[in-house]
Amino acid sequence: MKKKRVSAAIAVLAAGALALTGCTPPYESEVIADTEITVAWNDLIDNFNGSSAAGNNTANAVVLYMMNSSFLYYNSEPALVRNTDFGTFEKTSDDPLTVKYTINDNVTWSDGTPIDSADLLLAWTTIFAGVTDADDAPLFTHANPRGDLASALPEIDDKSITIVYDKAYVDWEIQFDLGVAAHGVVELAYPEITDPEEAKAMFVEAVQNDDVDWLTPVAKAWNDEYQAPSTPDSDLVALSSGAYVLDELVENEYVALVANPLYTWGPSPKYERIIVRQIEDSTAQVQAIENGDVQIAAGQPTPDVLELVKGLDNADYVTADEATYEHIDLTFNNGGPFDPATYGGDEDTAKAVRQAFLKVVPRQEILDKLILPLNENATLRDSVLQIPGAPGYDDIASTNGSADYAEVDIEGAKALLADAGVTTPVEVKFWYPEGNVRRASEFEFIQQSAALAGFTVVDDSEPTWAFTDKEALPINPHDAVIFAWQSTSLALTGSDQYLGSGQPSNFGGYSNTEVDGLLKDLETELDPEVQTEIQVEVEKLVWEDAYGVTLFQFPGITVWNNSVTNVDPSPLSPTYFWNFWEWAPTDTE
Amino acid sequence: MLTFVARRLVATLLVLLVASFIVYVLTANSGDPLRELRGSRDPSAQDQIAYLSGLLNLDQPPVIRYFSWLGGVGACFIGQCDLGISVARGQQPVIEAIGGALGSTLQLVLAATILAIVIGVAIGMTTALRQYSGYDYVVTFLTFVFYSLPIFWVAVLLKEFGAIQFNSFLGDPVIPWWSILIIGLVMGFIASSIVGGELRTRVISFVSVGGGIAALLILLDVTRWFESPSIGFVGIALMSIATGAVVLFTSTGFHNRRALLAVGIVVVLTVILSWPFQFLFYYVNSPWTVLLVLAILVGLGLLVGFFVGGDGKAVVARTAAIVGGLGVLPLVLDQMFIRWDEYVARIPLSNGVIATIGASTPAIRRVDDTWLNMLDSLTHMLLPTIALMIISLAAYTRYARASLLDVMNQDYVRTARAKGLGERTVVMRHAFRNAMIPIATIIALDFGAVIGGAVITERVFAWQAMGSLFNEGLQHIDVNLVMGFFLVTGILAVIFNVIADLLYSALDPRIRVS
Repeated sequence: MKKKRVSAAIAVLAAGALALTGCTPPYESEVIADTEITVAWNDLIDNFNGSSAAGNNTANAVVLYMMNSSFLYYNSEPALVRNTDFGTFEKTSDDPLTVKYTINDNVTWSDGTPIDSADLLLAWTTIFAGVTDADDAPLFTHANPRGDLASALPEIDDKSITIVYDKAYVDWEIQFDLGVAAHGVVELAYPEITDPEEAKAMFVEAVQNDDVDWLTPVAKAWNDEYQAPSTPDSDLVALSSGAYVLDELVENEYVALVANPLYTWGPSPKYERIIVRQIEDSTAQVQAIENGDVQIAAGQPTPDVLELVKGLDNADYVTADEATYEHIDLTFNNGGPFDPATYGGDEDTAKAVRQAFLKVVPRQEILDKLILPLNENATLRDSVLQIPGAPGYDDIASTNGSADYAEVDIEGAKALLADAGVTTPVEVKFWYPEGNVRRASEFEFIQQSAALAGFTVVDDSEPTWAFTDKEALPINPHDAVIFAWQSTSLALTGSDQYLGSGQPSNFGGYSNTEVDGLLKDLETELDPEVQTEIQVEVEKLVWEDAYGVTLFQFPGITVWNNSVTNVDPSPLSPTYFWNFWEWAPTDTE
Repeated sequence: MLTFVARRLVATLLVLLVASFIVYVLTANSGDPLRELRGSRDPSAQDQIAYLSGLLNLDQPPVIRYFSWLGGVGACFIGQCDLGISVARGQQPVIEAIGGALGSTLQLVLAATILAIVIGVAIGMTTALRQYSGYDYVVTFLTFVFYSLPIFWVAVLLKEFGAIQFNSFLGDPVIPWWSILIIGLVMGFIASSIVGGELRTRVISFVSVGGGIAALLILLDVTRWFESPSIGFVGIALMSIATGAVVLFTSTGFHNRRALLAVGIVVVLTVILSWPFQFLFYYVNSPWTVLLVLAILVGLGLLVGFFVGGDGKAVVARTAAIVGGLGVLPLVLDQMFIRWDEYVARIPLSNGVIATIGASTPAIRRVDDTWLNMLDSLTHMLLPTIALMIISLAAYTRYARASLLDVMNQDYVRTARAKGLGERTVVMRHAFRNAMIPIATIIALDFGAVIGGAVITERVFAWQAMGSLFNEGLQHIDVNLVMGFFLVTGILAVIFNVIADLLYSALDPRIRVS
């Protein structure tokens, strides 16, 4: 056996002496010299500004997560955790909604420049579209600029910013966080400025005076200059505020991170280096774990991959839910069996047909045969709005009426159809993406089960997702579609995108003014208990209307080599990276 | 000559143009590049869809988009290439993406092609010369097996046995007695079949080669050589003598005393010079030293051949120079193996050295040592190169066999024999060159197939090159990326066709390219 060069000597990179202020507990680095972990991901970072339209994707997010500190992160439950070693925030007023963010004193960028209110002001400018051009378009192309939320210029002092919202906003907690460095983006835009403090002062002044001319190059730098498929030429691009700094980025091969020697504002990582390698093929990932090329890998398992993983004698694995969930949506406005117009505008008949159809969807059978073999802990998802395990899920799932569709109810469906006076067989044009084996099986199960109640489910599969392009196809030609939505956060807003009348992701023409109103109320509700109540109300309506059914969370698998401990997969991005500071080599004792 | 090449180029450019149009329109119509975004519930998705639609002109029909793309390609002639941006790769310009990937692909594909040609032709010729022997039948059987294997499967198996199992062997290197026996028997069989002749010679070659290899394995096992492999003086000497013998055997034969003397001197010089070269390799530590040493050894070979050669100066000098040139290999290998222990300590593998993914180890890339990095490249390239090679190897073997058999029945070969020329001269000088003419055609054809095979091999070995670019482009319906791949492979295929045309005229004086 090869002798590991891991010495147990613990390099105290940053001494406890850094705890100059009495309120900060002394920090001791636990980074072990000469340790290195290699992990696999299917894509690699290519943009160091994860907030911009160009840089907002998962591959960037996982690496930036290790390079940056934030006020909050998601743990594996998933639940939000506040990182008070980095900074604190508190709601100082409900009306108007006012939140004060404060960065701790000892926190700096990796070039030694303190992180302060100028950086927070840059974050405000980008997230809330604080600066706009002549056409009123945001100067900074943030991935999701919210000019409607907090348009008033916030007050700042040395380390804090006070954001006053224009209206109450349910997701205020996760709406704001630190982005890239203000002095970095200014120096990228104006290379002649070299003093970080001067750069920050000029930026703050420009924002406060709404100096669009001066800010335009800054915004351009913020939008474009962070694109870097390999190690960026300028250190300013990859400034870090977190536990690791960029060591080397080799396009599409790997990114190497090395422990940040200045880092004292958060849990200390154990590995000196983390290397993320790009491996797309899941069999290749498993073989790489077996060979020791990489230590951690994750993905969506197929039966073959799972079999391979079970055969490894030097690795552990966990199968668990991912944040993506499968669901069936019915179409309300295409003249099909679920459209009231088919029955002369009779809402009740159409609803009965919808309910009857959903009653014969064999949800349990689909779960048992397709998902449980891949994730033994999988359960049916019984909520449209919340991911299982998230706060409020149990309350919602137990009261929203999803229980009516838990079991296949052929007799009930028949009775519903007979009472409504609908002549069987009812033809249902069912779409699933052609070539997707799992969904083809789901279709077959549904087809067989529905036939017993008098539904003829017709295979309407296509390789394209034409119905999702509402400009080309305003009305969905399919009567029922099966696909998946992905949750990227626990945000409560966003569901109006697919439940609200006429919204861009509402492909089935579902429209219920009561739901629209409730979702609007939810957006401005700050009391968590009332939030859950509203969600329950919305769900009751949606399930009663037989909008569709949710099926299951996609199964995910995380595999890790025995040489690393404390790997803990999480459903939300950044998935298994969330506790990277706890990863430790096994043989350090 | 020039007009011929120009005419060929114009014709192929037209073909490329038409093909690019078809590929573009087909790819553009194969789906929706923004599909993933449309499936996202992220509130920002709508903004991104609008942003990218504008960037890619998705409101225009593919045919119009093709011509604007073509305009960007046309601008290459005035030095302002614009192949568009790639959605799948974070809006990176395609030209940059290709720049990064092209090097890795050429490395992989060229190595595999050259090895496949050399090994395939060698095996093919030996089977042709020993037609209908046991060796011929076994090789024929094996080539058909390899020919029909799907490359993704070969690649996965190679990883299992060539990397994972071999690495765990290296972790505890004990060679079981039965595998020594089997390897000895197989090598003995191959040697006796190739040498051929009467029963007595066959037995001698069987026993000497098979027994020699078995003895070598036992020696390596007993001395625990695999725990920390090294080459050293003994290894360099043995390898130099072996290459000298093989080159001598195929070029002039051992009876040519002057050639034997020249090769002997070159081998001795290589072994002696390996000592001072070590210091050169260590202190200069640059890949250029390999070329320098190569030049020195080839020069020495030429000089020795010139002075020792007597009447057959040219032939002897050429033979000696080839031996000298090949003498670089053991020297370079020695440098790599000196660093074995350091390498093993630095890489993340728990056992052994053979990697299953990627082109390099990050921990090694940080170290500024040419030889360590070379060893790292070797351990990474080994399996993908074998995977690519094994498929085209079969084809080359079959074609070389058939072609040589064909040539050997020609009248001029009979004439050569009738003149009293030795069998070696007949085969190597009269038949071999003519047998290569059809092979030149295969090289051009096969190159395209190897690039196609590389698409799969790259994915299995997580090797980031043109193939993975193409794959990514197809999966995300990223037309610009797919077209970038098409352009590069198309141009490469054209270049190889032109090379093949030129090879014809070089090999066959009857063909005039005009």
